[in-house]
Amino acid sequence: MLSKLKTALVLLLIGAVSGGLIYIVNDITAPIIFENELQRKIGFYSEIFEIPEDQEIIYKDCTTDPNDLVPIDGQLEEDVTFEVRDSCPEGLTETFIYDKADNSLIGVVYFGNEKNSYGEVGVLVGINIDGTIANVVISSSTNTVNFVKKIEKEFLSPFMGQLADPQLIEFDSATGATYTYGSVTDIVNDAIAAYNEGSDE
Amino acid sequence: MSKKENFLKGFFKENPIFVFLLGMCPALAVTAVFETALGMGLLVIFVLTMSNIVVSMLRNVIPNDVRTPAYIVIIATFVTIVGMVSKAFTYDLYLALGVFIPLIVVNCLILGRAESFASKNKVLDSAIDGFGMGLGFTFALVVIGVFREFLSTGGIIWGEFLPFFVDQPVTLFSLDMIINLFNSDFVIADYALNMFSLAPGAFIALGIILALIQGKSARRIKKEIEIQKQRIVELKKVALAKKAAAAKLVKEAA
Repeated sequence: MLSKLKTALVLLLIGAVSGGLIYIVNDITAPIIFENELQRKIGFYSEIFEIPEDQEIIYKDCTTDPNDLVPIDGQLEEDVTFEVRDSCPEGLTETFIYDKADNSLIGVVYFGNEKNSYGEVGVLVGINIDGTIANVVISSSTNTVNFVKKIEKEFLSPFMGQLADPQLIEFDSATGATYTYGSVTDIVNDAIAAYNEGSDE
Repeated sequence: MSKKENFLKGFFKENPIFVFLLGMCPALAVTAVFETALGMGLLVIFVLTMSNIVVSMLRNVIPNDVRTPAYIVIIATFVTIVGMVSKAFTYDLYLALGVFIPLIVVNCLILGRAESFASKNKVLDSAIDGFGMGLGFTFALVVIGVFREFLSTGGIIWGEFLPFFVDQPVTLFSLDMIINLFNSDFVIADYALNMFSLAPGAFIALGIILALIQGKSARRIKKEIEIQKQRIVELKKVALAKKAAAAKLVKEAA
């Protein structure tokens, strides 16, 4: 009995010290990690809308606390065709990208994550304010690297410039990387649906 | 075993990758470029050294029947810490290594050293063992990384994943630099073997390196056997000469 108690106590102590160490390191690194992720996110947005390096952007998404929103002046109201929703579209994160200089809307980015037989794929779909697709970017993936590279190299650029319309959007039928491309097209379809739903509202 | 021998054994004599073939998962997966190989090696050095120290400190406290889960918790703690630190300070490396950072927990080299060395030896010896083995592991990863990156791109780049000492990625070495002295239109990337940056290339590269090492080791063993054979022949000759001399003496006495 006493030996079992000792075993439990030792494991408890090891667990507690481990937890404490992780807590301290997390406390130190969390703000830096947050900043890194923010910069990466902004990098993706800049890539999607081809925003020059010296141009600053503001973004707000459906997961942002309303109290943290950057105040937007009246000028924005005229440019925006639809408002930021209170909740995210199902399975997606909707983010509005603004030019910091004049608060004008640059476009909307939808982020979706889908599981397939090879793992997970995270895709960002950027839509310009004129309703055309700005770009589609694979932001994260655990799929076979070669398939992802192939899709990135050959099958994402055809989306650029297409009208974000469920009736008109065209997909490639033979990519040689069916699971990865299937996840990408699913997310593009969901993004287009969410965009059109948002426009209607 | 002296402290120096303990430290150096991980490089050649007991190299985890080239001799024991331990930790092959990262050796194949993250060695497409030299920098990710070095980055993974540095993370493993930290985890291996620290876990060896803690396991050795607690070797008389941890009950025998729960030692493996206790070691795993200790290793997982340090892996979580290096994961956070790399995410904070070497974000590109963190993204490049991806799932292979948490997978350090199940690297059999680390649990193997905890079980076979740190749990039976003093703290200082365990620290030296962990650091030496970690350096040996890193050395092997870097050799594979340099080999693969050079063959797949024709050069070696620094600063893409490890943002130390340089602001922008710089080419440490490229065949372009030499060949362009004679032919300005030459681009080595056009002739590089891209296969070596892919999974099959990892196996082939490792196979070539292991074959070179084993070939050298086999030659050394063959040489040693030859020397031993020669020594035996010489000893036999001496023995026969002694026997003959003894027989002669007996004959003369008779």
